[in-house]
Amino acid sequence: MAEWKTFDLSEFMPEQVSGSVDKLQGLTDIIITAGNVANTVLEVLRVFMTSFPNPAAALVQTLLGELQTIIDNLQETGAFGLFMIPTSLDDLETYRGGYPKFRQIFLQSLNDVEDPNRPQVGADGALGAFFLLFTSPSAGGVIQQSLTLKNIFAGARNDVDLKYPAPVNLTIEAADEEGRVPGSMLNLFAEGDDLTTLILSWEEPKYKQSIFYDIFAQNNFYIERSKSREGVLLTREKTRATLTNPLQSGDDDAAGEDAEVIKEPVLNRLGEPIYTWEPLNPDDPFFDLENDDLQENYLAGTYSYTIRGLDKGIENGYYYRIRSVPKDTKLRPLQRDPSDPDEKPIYLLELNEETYLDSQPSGAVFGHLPDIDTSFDLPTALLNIYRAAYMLRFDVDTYDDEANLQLGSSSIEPVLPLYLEDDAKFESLYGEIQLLELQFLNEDVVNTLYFEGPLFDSEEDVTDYESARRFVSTAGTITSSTTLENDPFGGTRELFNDMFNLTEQQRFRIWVDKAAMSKIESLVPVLVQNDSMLEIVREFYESAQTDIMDTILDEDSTDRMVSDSVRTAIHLLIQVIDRHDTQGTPPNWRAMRLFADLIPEADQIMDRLFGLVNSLGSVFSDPTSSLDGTIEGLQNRLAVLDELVDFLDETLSFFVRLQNVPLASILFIPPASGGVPYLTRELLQAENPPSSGPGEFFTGVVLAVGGAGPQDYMSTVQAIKFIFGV
Amino acid sequence: MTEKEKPQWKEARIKPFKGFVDQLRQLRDVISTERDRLEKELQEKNDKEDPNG
Repeated sequence: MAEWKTFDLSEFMPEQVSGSVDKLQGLTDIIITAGNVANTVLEVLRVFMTSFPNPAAALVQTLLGELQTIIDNLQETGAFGLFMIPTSLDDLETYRGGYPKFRQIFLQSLNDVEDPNRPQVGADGALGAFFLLFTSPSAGGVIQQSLTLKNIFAGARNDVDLKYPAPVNLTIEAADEEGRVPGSMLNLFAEGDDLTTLILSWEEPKYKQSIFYDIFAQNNFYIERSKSREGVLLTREKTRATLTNPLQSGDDDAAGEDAEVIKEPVLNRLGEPIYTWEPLNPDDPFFDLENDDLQENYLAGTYSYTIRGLDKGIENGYYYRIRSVPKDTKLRPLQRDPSDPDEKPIYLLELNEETYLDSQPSGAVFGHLPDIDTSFDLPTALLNIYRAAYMLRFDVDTYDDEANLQLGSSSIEPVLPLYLEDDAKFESLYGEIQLLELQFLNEDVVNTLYFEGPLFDSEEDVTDYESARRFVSTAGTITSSTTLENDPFGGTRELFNDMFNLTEQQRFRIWVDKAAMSKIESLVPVLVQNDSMLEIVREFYESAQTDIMDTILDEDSTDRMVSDSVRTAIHLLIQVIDRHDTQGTPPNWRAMRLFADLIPEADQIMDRLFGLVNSLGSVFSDPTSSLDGTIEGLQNRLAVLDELVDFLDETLSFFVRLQNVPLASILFIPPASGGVPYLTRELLQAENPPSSGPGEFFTGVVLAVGGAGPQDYMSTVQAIKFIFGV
Repeated sequence: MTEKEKPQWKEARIKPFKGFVDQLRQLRDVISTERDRLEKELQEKNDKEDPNG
């Protein structure tokens, strides 16, 4: 619920005004605090003006006097303020309901006995109010209006923590020219798609009752990127004087060289280091729903954008992030060192010619176009390696009586399904190769079986990855599910055997291929991102291809099982590829949220102010040289006046920017006797209220003024009219 | 209260601190004029001291 506040009207004003005649005073206070300057700029200005040798001085004095009077009056006037501004995104729902809801909240606040700051003016006193109200059918619109109010009223600044929300669940995927994501890198080898674009996808966060407000649809999007996850730290060079050791002699010729040039981070106005990101497209940085490359799903609140014109290779990858910004936001390049034409500019978001900070960036994701050579059929090569490995029972570790590893690589999972044990085609490995000593490990000699005979009857029959995948998925469909298939009581296996009459060889192939594919699906994306790894796998595969095919095709199982060269070659490959099976898929596609943004402006204004104050100071430190009519004196004064005009221009432009307020609904109820009941009645009777439906949002400010009689409120009424320009 | 006296909502584009901005602009113009005058004076002095320019 909105609460009433009491304050003098100067609190309403932007800090730049409330300090003094203009921001000269306010900012000078900071300098004074720093202990650098004893006089305020305003005072210096006054002294300077008295030295004008012509009638202009008198005029300036008059104007300064008038400005001072306005400020003084504002500081003396008081009002009851009610900021009816959503303070956060969660608060938006409170301010939904159009004009009736506005009236309801206002009247509730006016009569809220628990609010000690409400205007408690009885029927004998006078009370009036100024209402400033914005309505909008969209949440995006009301956020913009609220930010405008927050910008104008210093009094609302601390309470209103309202920003455009950051897009969430940002992901990035490589895609083809039409924006189609291959789904799996495996498809690249099957279909030969050329990946030339990146698809950036994000969502609008959801609020009350898991609904989203469609805020992004009102705005533009802005994508920025950086080579670093945090952005690039903005620094400046600063000369730091080194203190001289008093014990050392004073005849140090290089005293002046003690000064040390250091780099220090530039801080924004919140005292945080600034990290810069570059716009994705500096020439056309913003886009909206009309953009051909943007896809949206209104129902789900999800969006995706196709990024084009990228170079391939991980070295050309970037971290990307995105913001939702108001339509009027602009991008301003800033050349920090104008003398260096090669310097890359930094970019500032601006709204109403002021640095814009009210749109949160999303988290960052790393994206690049993989540079993949699909001429080497990696998935099929991996499949054959796994086929050979399963034929050699690498999935089971077997030791001799000396505890030396004889079979298996400890790397392939899962183990064979138990039902294969009963099949006559599976023979006791140990019996065949005379390793009966192994019984001591497990007294059952037939606990490790191997498949007798070839996996495929001829080299022409050996299926490639795509064919195998189709075969496995068809079989998977028939058997419904892995769980069911492995359930001996499910009956699926019997159906499988009887209905389709698959041979043991075919059944075993399906099982091996299925187990291998789940590994290959996670392996391929890793391998294709690592050129050297890919090359190693390729070389190993090509050199071991004969052994691999022998293992798959050899009729003589015993020879195959005991051949050291075959085992070694395949073992080596499995070690190489399997090691990369458990590390996930780097790089991580999610990152921490960052808050840092670009605000070097505040810094520059401070620098300029120092310059101005110093120049004023030097002019007055030696009156004989500066105020006389010599050329040097005139030049000094001219320089000071130039600075003053520039500074006033800057101050003016600040205020002109404040005047960029959207069309509002305003109502002024002049104070009159009757107190709170009078004000209530007047509001209820007010005509031509803003036409807004029950689903509309609103944001606004109410200033109530009153007292015992006109002497109590007339100056405040004047001040309100002055502030709002009405 | 008659019908005519009822308060009216109206749509408007507010101009915050309009009066202040007007005053400030006037101040800027005066100082600017003074600067121009000074510049002219300086030019004249320069010309006098170095007529060959």
